[in-house]
Amino acid sequence: MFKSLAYKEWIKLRIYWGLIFLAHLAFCLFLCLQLRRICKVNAALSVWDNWLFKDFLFFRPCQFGPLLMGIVFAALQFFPEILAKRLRLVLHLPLSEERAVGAHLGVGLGLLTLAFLPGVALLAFCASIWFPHEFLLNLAYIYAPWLLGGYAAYLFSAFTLLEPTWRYRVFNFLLGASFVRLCYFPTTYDGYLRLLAWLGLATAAAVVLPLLSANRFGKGYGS
Amino acid sequence: MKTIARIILLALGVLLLSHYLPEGYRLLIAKRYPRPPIAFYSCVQKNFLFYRYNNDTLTMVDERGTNYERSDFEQLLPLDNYLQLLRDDNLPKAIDGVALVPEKIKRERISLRIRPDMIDSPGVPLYPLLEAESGRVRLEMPDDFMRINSRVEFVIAASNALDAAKSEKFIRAFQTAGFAFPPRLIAGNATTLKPYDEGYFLVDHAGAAFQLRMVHGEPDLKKISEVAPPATKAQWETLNPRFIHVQEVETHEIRCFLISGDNRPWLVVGKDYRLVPLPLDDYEPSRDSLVIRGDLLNRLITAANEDTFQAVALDRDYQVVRRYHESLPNLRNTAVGKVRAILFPFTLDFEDDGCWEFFMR
Repeated sequence: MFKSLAYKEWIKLRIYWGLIFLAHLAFCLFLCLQLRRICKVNAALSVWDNWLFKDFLFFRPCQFGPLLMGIVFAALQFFPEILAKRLRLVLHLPLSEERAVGAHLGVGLGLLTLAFLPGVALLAFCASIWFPHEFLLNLAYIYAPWLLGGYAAYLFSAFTLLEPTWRYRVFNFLLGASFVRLCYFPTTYDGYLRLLAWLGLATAAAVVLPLLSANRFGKGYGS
Repeated sequence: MKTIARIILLALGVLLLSHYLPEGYRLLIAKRYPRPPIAFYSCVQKNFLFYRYNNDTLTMVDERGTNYERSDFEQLLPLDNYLQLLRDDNLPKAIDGVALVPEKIKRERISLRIRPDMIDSPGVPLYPLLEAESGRVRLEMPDDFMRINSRVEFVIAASNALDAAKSEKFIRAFQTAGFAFPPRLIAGNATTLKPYDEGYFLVDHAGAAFQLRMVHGEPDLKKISEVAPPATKAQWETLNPRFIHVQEVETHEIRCFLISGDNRPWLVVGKDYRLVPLPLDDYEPSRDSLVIRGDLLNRLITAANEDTFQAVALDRDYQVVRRYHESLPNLRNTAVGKVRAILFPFTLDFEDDGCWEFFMR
């Protein structure tokens, strides 16, 4: 059953997913070229100096990429489900409600990860041409809260979209917005080092929230 | 599963509210935090003088609260205001038998600041090791960066490649000096805007302190307990520093500031690495902002946190000449603070000192 659901989601999302994947890859390629230009135009010493002592974030333009992708992806995945209340069909399958919605979320998170990773890997590969491994660690630490922001945005968007009543939708949206903001404090390279585990834990816990909305949807609230 | 989801929703909601509601309250109240005074030690009156900020007005007072006009205040602090006094032709010729020569006053001025966030701020573990005796007037940045883990390596910035020969040379020096890899602490002042280069103070895996410099391209690594005179040797062996701040000063007097394994503050002074304990009451590095200032005649140490402010004046031999202590008005004790404590029994904070953390208060 999971396979069939996953296939249904893949059919529904493949074109959009392809576009998002390409857009993110193109954006990362653009950042790589920009980094290449910085390293070619400036003396290596001054580029390293900006990195080590002035906390210059070469990847700052990246920060809202995952957030945007998370929201758009959730919208593309769940809008069709709530329009004309199509999600009800899924909830009537001989499959527990948790498993059905869990399968949707699993596919969404998986596709989102597949859309994120190649771009990030490209950035890491390009950065390793001009910088030592310390920089890659910095890159990982600076990118991790933004990625978590992307996942959280996806989960809270699903939580909001699947919710059948407007009153709760507003509440869910505000909760999501206030959570996602925690991933975007103005920061330096290792600024999130001590917060990352907590944020990761909270984001992982948020996986169960859309199940609540789906449950209310299934019970017919708001209709 | 539904129950778990509800619990998580509730927990997330409570946690987020415990962050945003107090933030909103702070925004609404817009109350200014009381600032600790800025202390000076008057070598004329032999007492403390202060700049105090009350809202937008600056007052100049002494320990008893007597107000001073600016010109009188400056007259009592000739070493801090020597340029103005010189211009007004009011600079005394000598104080306590020490001649006040402007060049000398300037040269002897020291200012070190140790903020709580400096103690455990993460940084990129790559360090430029400057040539300490290049024979040039100004210091110059090297074209490589040092990395010390289980060995010493130099990475050349232009090619992003290891300098194998230089790395080998330094590894041999570290082995000869008996350095236990990996280091616990590497502290230096990575800038060329300083009068000379003290290099890096290292604490090895066994807790022993070393000083590393590069002299004419060669490593100069000293185990400090071995070069210190017998009187301080034993102290250095048990010191186990957990924080070191290096800041070269014109007179070469202070080599570094350090916090020992038992959380006590010290200055390392002079050629023989003399350890001078800072005579502060109840100094907590993760809470107190420390300022060490020095001039031709005295040293002044101040430590401030939300609740207290203390100042200690020392002579040039680091003996205490005067102490001052005051409790600071805290927002917690005002009506606003009390209402806050009732409204928000606990607060989730992500304090910014360049590094975000999770605090439950």
